[in-house]
Amino acid sequence: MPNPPSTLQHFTLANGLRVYLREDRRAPLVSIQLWYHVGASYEPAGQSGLSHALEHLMFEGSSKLAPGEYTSLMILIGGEPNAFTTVDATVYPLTVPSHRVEIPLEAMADAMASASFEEAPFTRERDIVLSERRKNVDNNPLASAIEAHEALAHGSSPYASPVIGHRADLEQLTSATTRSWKQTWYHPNNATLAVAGSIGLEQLQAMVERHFADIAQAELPAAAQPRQDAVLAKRTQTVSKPGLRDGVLMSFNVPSRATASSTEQALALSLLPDLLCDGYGARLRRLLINDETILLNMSCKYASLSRGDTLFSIYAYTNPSKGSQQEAAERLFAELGKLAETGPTQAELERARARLLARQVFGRDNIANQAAAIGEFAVGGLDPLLMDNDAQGLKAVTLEHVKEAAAQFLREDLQTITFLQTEESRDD
Amino acid sequence: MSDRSAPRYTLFGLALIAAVVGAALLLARPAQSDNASKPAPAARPANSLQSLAELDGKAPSRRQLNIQHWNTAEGARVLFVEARELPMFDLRLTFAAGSSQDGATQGLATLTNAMLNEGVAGKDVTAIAEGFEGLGADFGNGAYRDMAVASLRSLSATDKREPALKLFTEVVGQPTFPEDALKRIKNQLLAGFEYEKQNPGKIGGKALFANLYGNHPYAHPSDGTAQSIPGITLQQLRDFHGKAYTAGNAVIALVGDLSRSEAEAIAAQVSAGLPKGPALAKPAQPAEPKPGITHIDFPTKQTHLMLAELGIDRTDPDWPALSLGNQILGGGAFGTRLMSEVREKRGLTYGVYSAFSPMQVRGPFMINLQTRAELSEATLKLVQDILTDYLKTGPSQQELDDAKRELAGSFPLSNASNSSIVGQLGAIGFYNLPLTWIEDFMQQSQALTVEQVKAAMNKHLAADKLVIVTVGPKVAQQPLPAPTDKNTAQPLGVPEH
Repeated sequence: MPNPPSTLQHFTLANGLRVYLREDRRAPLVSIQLWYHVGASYEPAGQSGLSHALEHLMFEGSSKLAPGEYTSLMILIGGEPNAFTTVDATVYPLTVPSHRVEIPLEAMADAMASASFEEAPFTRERDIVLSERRKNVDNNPLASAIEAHEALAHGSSPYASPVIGHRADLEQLTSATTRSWKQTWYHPNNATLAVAGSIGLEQLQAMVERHFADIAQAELPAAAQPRQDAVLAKRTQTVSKPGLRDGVLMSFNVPSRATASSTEQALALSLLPDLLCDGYGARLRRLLINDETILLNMSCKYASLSRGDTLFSIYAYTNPSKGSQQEAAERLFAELGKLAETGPTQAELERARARLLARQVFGRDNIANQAAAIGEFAVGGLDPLLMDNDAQGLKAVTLEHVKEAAAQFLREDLQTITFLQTEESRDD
Repeated sequence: MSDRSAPRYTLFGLALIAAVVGAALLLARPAQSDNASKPAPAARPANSLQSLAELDGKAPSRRQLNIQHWNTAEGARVLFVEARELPMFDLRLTFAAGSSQDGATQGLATLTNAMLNEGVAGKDVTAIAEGFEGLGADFGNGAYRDMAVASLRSLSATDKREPALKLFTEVVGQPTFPEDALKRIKNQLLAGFEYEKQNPGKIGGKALFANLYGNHPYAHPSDGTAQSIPGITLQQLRDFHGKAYTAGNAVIALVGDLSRSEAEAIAAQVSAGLPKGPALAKPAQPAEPKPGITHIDFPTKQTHLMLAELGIDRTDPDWPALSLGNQILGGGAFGTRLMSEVREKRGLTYGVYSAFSPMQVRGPFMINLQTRAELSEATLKLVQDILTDYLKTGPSQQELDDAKRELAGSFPLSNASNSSIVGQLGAIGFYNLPLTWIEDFMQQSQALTVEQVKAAMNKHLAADKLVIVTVGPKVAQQPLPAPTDKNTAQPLGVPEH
């Protein structure tokens, strides 16, 4: 491939902070992302939403920053000081002009070392999170159904817990618990700093050392890797809500990159969304949406970069005039069975591979995406330095690899189905 | 700055995809602006960031764009930026073929656009998709109120680029509009309308545009209605394509790993493949709407509040002043007056945003939020009071200075990636803006005074002209809780730049 990405550069501070840099000199900007290796899957039962609540409280003041000053300063220098939480990570990303990189680095270090918050902002932010939950989950029938679906599919795995938290847990959450969550996890040896943009390693390293090197490392609690339940059987449920469209959510318990028996196995699984759902040339979309019209729309997802066992999921809206949700699910599963039996065709594999490879190039158009890719590898339990081998690895995936992965994982006992229907049709 | 057009048409796919990727929860957290009028010295830590001392007065440098432009033989306007760093290119065709050109057939523009990639001579939808996808290329299309877009993102290697461009040229220029595909897409749209009846955001948005625009072509939803879609014929699609997807009605934006001569060849090829014809006239300016509140009773968990007025068209000289004025009111994700008062001090909402959407003719100014049903009336009043107060007093000098710094700081992002550049080029071409528009906008914004921003906001907005739609349950109303004291830092003393 011409113009390969610049080599991923790396150093680790004595206190354990891992730092990665992808140089990209196209524009005078740098994306800086601090990824803490803690998210919803680390939370104890009854305390769901803790990581995300803490994310909302990280800018309420620290030794060098007044409450809110982190936010106002970053806006002033051109950054958008947002943050986000996932099952495996809490992330503070910023894209700023190159000559201002040191300000966010110093501020992030100060927050890591000494951020704290009072009772009033805690209560206010908890209300805001409850409002966020109402807006994004309770008021969104599909999002509520997906929450119920993931809970059923993950069973006793910590991935069953929603990132935003259960309402009851959020209402019980205290400021003391949230503070101690920070004390437990926000240490340099539990963080990855991912940087992409117009800056050199020497300059970055000097600034990172200046601000982070004095922060002491700390002993971290053991974090159990999320694993699927030892014994699994087919699980089904029906979710009825006003405003919910007829549909099927179908998932299979599968390994992630971190838990797969081989890289080939994980890369074969990562080709499934393109093989089956994404783009009008994908097998299921072609057959079930275009030809048979039993589905109206669909998407597939494989969360390959997860530190524990994950899901391969197919979400589909069904066509009520062509049959029930149950019939559509059976038809879908029958097609997955064919893939497990005969594998994809060579043309199908080449199409999916071409898309994944092109997407790796397209992803380099955005420096924030480049930094995020580094962070996702790190919190997903993988070595980011290996990410550039993926193009080579994808080229080595064979028809047999895909067929084996389909046969091994697209099985009835690993399957969870949630049927979606509008509330009215329950009484039909 | 960003290319804000009216909501995008999608075959209801986005809701599903957004939910899939929505696993990461954004903070979308407001700033607590360092408003000098409310110092809180006690909150100030003893130390401050050392790196602030290093902050010099320099505005951030930014990538200099060399925008090249020419017209094709058939009259298409071409804008090109050479960017050789990545082995890829973006091509975007923008036509004045949005739903404001629907005439009496609502949804015609959307259906025509959605049918482009359903068939060309010798290829059905699957073969077309396989053609692009086998090369790793992404074909994109969409219809808005003003414009319809067809785009291609591909690797630039000749063996990928040439077949992708050949297919793209056929898809945009000579679609065959197969009958079975039309039936399928109509069914998808109709199923979508059924479900929209249960989507309070959609219901409210449609009512708002209807109230704001009356009989104007911007009033109806871009994807038509359950009444208008079934009757649309293949002949209507062919006629619309023949008059609206012409070279004379097209802007071709190109960015990427191409030489000037390669770009010229691509533009010539695509342009020659289009129907021949002139640019379509833009719609007339809309008439002033009747202010007032419409409540739609709906059993939701939170109440949607939408407030709107007519704003400006894209060539309005007040755009920089309004953009900056709106940034302070509610345009940014953080630290705006609306976010500060409604979310930060009172925790009433996860987010409240305001926006001008300048279009070919006067686009809307809108404020959007959701809040708890029992507080919805008091929250609506609060939002109206914030707007009234802002129009009356204008921004403070500090707010304006901060907004200018933010704009200068975030400006490099506007041309940092190929995809942001191709978006800028498309807008410059479509709205006939000067090639220096990006720089001009920046310079004009930086020169604005408090009085100019205040005057522009008052020239275009009035607190008593709001068209308001609320969607939610009817419940007994409660008064607002008392605001909590905002933690306010002292002014930072950041040097000017």
